[in-house]
Amino acid sequence: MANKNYLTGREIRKIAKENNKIMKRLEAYKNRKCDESEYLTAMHNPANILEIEDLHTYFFTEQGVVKAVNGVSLNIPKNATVGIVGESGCGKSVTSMSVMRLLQGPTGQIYSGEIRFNSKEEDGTEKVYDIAKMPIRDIHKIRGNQIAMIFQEPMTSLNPVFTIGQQLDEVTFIHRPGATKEDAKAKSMEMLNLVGIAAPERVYAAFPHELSGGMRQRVMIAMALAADPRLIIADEPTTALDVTIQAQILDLLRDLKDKIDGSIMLITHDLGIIAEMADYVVVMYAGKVIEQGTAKEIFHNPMHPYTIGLQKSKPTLKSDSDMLFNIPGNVPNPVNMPNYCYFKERCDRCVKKCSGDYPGMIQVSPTHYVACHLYEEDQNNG
Amino acid sequence: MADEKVIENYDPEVILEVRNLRKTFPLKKTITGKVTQELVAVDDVSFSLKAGETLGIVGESGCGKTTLGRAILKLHQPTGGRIIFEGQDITDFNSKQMREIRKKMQIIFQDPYSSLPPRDTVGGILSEPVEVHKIVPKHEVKSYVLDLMDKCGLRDYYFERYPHEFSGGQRQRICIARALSVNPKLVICDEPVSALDVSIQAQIINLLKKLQNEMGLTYVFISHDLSVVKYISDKIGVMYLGSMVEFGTKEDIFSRPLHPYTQALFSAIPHPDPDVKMNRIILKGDIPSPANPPKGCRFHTRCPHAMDICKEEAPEYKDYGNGHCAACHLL
Repeated sequence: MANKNYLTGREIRKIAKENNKIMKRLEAYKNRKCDESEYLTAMHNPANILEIEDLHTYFFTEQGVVKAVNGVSLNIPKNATVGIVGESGCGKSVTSMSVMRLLQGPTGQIYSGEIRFNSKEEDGTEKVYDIAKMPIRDIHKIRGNQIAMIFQEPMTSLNPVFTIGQQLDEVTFIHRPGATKEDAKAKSMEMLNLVGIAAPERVYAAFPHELSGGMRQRVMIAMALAADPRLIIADEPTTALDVTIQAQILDLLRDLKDKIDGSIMLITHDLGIIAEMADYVVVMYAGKVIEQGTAKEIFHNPMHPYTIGLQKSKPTLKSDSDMLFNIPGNVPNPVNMPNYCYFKERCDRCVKKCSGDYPGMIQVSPTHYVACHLYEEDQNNG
Repeated sequence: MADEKVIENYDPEVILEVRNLRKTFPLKKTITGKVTQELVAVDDVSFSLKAGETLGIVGESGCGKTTLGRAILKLHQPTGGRIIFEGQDITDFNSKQMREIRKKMQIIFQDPYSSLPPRDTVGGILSEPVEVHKIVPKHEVKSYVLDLMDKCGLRDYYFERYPHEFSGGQRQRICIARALSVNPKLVICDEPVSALDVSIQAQIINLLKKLQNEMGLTYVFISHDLSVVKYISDKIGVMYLGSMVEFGTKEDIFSRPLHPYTQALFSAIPHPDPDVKMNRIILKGDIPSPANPPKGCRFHTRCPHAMDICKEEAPEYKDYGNGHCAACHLL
């Protein structure tokens, strides 16, 4: 019996051949040597610190091309927190990995698109880099320095064979050439104090396994802050932590944002955290942005059926219904995505048009955008 | 025989009663096998549960909620206390006697990715318990399993498929079907939705509720997510470092939380509404290690209302009316 779930050897070889061609080209582009002028660009809006425009990040697997990020555009304004929310596999982490250029090559590649970042040079001038075009050898100008990342798993992201102090000092040594040991230690201690660690001397000398999960996440945050970044990407910073510890860490992140004068890109699947932390919200589904707006717009006036469903399906402490609302079906298979709206099969408000092309972004207010055919007429009338 | 042991104060409506349950794990042993240091995972926990009810157990990691669930099923042999299931004291049952009891009590595990055998088809996974326990005659097994799959929202052509072909939510449905295949009365759900996405979580919770109504199941629902527990439970037990700090009906616990830990736990949950500003109680410090719990009240190191007596004396676990129990010196 022929099974659609399996590919034959011939099909796999054909896919691999095509993939190899593209991967080789992209890998060569990534490793090229080039002059800075090639990737200098200008911001579309100078109030933003990061602009992602039509980003496509693909994974070239044996089963076919997985379009993990498929045309994502979003902006992060200065001094704002932008929350990216979505279920697993919707491409929210891959978006952040693309910004950091941490994709696992050669399978994972930025296929096209622009990531413009407003960087502050040491002499105080501002330069705009297109991160997507930067060769990997130049990325250290930005990564870890201007953009820092807090990872999900504090247990696995610290190196077990070095002390916390050694790992924190390293950040200063790499990003501040000429720093002495004393400088580095002073900076590290300052950071440990900043993130609210009670006994910084003891933690400085400790190994990661001697600390609890909450403490490790604080160390990760201290490490991210050590080079005075302009943008912090927090990828599910509290998912691995207990609720009471989560409350501590969120409180800390909120405090820090004011202190460091930077922006935060907060990635999470928890709508509660987004509501509490974010100024702007981006909702992703299957590699695309389906709705974005300010936190108030998204929570008080959600428009896309998926956003509405997501909010209704989460039981809250205040709700008292008998049956939870649920979105039927599963997240679609990321290989061979259809042309029509990806949410069509699970949507309860489908119209005829939904079988047509993928809906474009429709502006409903100056800051609120939604990708759904339901709202197209409103736009034409208004 | 253990069956004939007389059980005092037994209420026939109660399906499961746990009295002073204690489970310790040895940490260090001398060369002669004497235990010199032990970890008290569950300490003196008591509760009773009526048929058809759902008990939600909440707590942070390391508080012993999973150990409690496993000890009830005797997957861990309890160190002390009694477990009374349907009027039988099963604490000292041997494995042969437990086999009969296991038909009536089942478990759903947290991680649907690692709790299904990868080399068996869905049909095989679901038929095995039915055959082992001789639930139906051999020739009816397949139709029985297909019927069960239909109940759990699995299509009939999944029968020949393997677990790796399914998503997390579908796998959790298979796990639920497997647990229900022997017609149990009590199901322990150990974080059944924690590994799933929000939209899939809602599907699984609704399925569990539907099955409870249809089959008259009793659940012990273990979770760290208070909003899910509130949604599904009739009674709630809050655990901290191995002991039950508060227990009561859902209404009592949510409208009138007595223990400071319960209050802090409730206020720590982020609310999905940007306008709601919660008066958050932020607990200081980390959860102490269960291998070396603090003296006196175990919560005193983090408690915002800690007094001198809390450091010395462990508070008594008392009933404050209507079966709403708590252990705190403040009350």
